[in-house]
Amino acid sequence: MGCFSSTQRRQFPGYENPVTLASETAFSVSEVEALFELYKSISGSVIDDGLINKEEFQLALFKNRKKENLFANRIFDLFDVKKKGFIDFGDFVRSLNVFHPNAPLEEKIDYSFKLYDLDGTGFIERHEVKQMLIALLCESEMKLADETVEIILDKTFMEADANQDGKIDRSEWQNFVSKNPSLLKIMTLPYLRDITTTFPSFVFNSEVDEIAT
Amino acid sequence: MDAERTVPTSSNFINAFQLIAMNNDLDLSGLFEEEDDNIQKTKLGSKNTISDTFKKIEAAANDLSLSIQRQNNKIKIHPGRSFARCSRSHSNLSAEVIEVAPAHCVVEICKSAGELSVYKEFCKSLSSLLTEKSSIASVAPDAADLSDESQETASSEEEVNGSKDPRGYSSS
Repeated sequence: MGCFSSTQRRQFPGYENPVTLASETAFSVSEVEALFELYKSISGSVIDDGLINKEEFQLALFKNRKKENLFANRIFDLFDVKKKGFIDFGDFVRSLNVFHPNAPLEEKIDYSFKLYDLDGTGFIERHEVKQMLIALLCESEMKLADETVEIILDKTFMEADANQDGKIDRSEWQNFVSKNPSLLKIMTLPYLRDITTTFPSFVFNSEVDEIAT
Repeated sequence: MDAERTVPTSSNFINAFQLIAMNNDLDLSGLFEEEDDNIQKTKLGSKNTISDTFKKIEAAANDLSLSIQRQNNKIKIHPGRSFARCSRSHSNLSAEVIEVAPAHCVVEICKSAGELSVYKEFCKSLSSLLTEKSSIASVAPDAADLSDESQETASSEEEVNGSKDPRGYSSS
C-alpha cells in the first residue's frame, strides 16, 4: 500500500488508507491520522489486537469497562458495521463521520432512527421507547411514576406517529425530527471539527505527506 | 386527526426522545475527553413544579451561604454572599432545571471547576430538599430506588400533605 509501510500499521487488521477514508468522509487526511491515534489507544486498552471490542469501547466512553448499558450496546452495535463483534478502524472513522458537524442531515436522521429501533424491525415501536425511558430512569436519580411514563409516551406518539399505527416509521421520524431539530443534537460531536487540535502532538507524527488539508 | 388536537394541558410534558437524549450515555464526547476530575454532573429528580424546584434550589444555596444568579432555566451558583465579588471566581457550578411533566422536573447539577466539596454539599442539600414532601424531612435521599419502594412512592403521588409514614421510608 505504498508509503504506509511502517510495521506498526501492519499490525492493525482494520487499518485503512487515510487518503481513502478522507475521500469518503468529512475528515481530512490529517484528521483521519489523528483519529488513528485515538483508535490505537482505544483498541489496545484491554486486548492489544488492533480492534475495538465492546469492553474497550465502554472503557473509552465511560472510563469504566464495567458499565454496560442499553445505549452503549446500541451504539457499539451500530459502530460494528460488519457485525463481527468488534470495530475496526474503517468502521470507527465511518461511524464517527456521521457525527461530524458537516455530515449530511439525512445520514444523521438515518442513524438516529437505527439507534432507537432497538430490535431493528425498521420501526420505532412504543415498547422500544418505553424500554429506553426505563433504562434512562434506572441510570439516574430521576423517578417517574409509571403513569407519567405512559403519558409521556402517549404525547410523544401522538406527535410522532402520524398514521397512529403504534409505531414510528422512517418517514414519520424524518417529519418528527424536522419539527424538533434539537432531537438530533446527540448526532453531532463538535469535537470532530477540531480533532487535530484535540490531538495536537499527533499531527507531527503524520506519515502522510499531505498536500491539501 | 382529532386525536392530535386533544393533547391535554400536558404541553408541559417533555417528549420521550428529548428525555432519552438527555442521557449522558448517548454522549460520545467521552471518547475525546480526558477524564477530567474537575467536571462532575449529577441529575436529581424533583416531584415539584418548575417554580417550586427553583425555590428549592435557592433554598439549598442559601443553606450553604451560596449566592445564585438565574438565567432562564439555569441557575449559576457562586460561593459567598455577593456575586459581584465572585464574578471572577474560579468556581463554575450550575443547576439546570428541565421540565419533564407538569409536576416533575430534572435538575442537572454541573461543576466544571471549583471545589468538589462545595459541589457535593450542594447536591446533598438540594437532594434532601427535593425529597421532602413537606417541611418535615421524612425521606432519606437515597431511599427512592427503582425497587418495590417505588410502588409506595407512586401511590403517594397524590401529594399526601405532611405525610409522615409511621413506617418511614428511610433506612435506619
